[in-house]
Amino acid sequence: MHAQDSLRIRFQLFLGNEPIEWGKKYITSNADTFAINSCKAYFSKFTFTYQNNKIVQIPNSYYLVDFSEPNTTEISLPISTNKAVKAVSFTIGIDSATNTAGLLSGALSPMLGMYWSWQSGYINWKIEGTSPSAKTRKNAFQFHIGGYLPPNLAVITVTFEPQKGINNHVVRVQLDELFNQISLKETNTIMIPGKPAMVLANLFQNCFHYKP
Amino acid sequence: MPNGWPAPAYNFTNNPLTEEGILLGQTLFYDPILSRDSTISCASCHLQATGFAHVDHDLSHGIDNRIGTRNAASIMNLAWSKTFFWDGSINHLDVLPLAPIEHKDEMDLPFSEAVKKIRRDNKYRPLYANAFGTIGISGERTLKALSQYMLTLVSANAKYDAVMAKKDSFTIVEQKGYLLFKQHCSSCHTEPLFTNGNFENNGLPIDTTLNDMGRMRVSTLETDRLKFKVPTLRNIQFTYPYMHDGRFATLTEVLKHYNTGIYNSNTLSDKLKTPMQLSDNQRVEIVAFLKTLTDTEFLLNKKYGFIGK
Repeated sequence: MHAQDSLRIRFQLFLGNEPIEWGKKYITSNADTFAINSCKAYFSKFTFTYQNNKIVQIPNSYYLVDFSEPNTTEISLPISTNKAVKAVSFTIGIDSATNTAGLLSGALSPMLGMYWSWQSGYINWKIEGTSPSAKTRKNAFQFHIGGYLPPNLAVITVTFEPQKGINNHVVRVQLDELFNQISLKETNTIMIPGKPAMVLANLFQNCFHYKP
Repeated sequence: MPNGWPAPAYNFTNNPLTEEGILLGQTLFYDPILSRDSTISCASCHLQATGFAHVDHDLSHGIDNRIGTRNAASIMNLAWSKTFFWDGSINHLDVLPLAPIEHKDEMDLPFSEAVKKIRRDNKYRPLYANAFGTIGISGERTLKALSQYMLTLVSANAKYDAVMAKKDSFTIVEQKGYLLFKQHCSSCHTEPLFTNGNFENNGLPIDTTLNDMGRMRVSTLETDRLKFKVPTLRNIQFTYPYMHDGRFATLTEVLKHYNTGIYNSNTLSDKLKTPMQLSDNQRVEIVAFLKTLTDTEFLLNKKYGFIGK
């Protein structure tokens, strides 16, 4: 594939104005001190709306981004040449049909730590770290967010309008938008589908910002 | 595929059964290598002679003598099942083994570690190569092989089946029991699989030492409170004790529960709202019919049995 035949999206994990450093101490607007040790997320169903309003979903576009491994944070998608892309949308997480399809491989292998063994289903995204506000073992906080059964379908969609004339795009994941909205004393361990997971899924959606 | 049965839910085109694949799955099923300290195999809780159920334990126990929260279900006719476990928390057979292997009270081993242990055991290299055509031991292959073996566990040769095929006949007592069964039981325990695959609240008062909410844990829906999956009744004579928590040791107790023990709550199955009002004789007749669901060929067939060291 020629470079101009693909649209590339790089995801960057940010807090404030700087890329996240693993293990570094940050403070939320609620005065919780915290550090992040890992962040992984599934991005899927990439869809382009072209200038002529034609909508094309890239088939089998399921990607697991591990923010601690920079080579996984850029996603390259095929585009029709000579057509401007008006909008890009994608989902964070794995849809219901894929969740019930049984054993899958590649990015969807159940062996990548992003699949629940005790209750079938993918973890759409996870963030783990520590905070003295979390009165848990070793002050850990763990958010493993997923759920494919309504009313707790935790898949969320993000749409952005890419700048014209370039193929390399950046989407920032501003985790402030999540951590400033919760109290780590109250909310520190969510590892099952349900209402609390839905709240976090919606907060995570607000974290995504296209950076022209 | 047994005559007159519905189409299976399992999609065999994604995992075609082969003799070699089944052999590998069977070897894994009986091998404690899948547990952290190599003490517990699938067969520890799923014994062929008792319909692959964990007989005589209300709650099943696993590694380090740890006791779980439910009675291990029987394994048979899984190709016709859309969900698995008492609360349907598992949605596909191919991902089912992840649950007991990783559960801390069962086999307590991360699945990726189980695959590493298998790789270190020389006997498996040729078994995997024969089953899948190329050398290589992976998690995906492990799960597919286990499915292949479990899918062969089809029980369809009980006296009931012979009677339906007009090759045998019920005794008078069994026949009476069959008619009562069709009247009172078969709307949930639907023939020929003897389950409709749904979740129902069958009127068991909650055991406050467990507080098991059943399907509600998975769906989070209040309307699913205390609902559990309707189990098959095939080979029920040998899969005691009964119910998700093994609270009833005998079929007599089970029938007594349905007759006079129904605990009413918001989610109680509509089908149980009218008392059955069975006489002592009628309950005996139903139990006599249930025993015609025993498939001795299945329970004793050496083809399904232990292989290993």
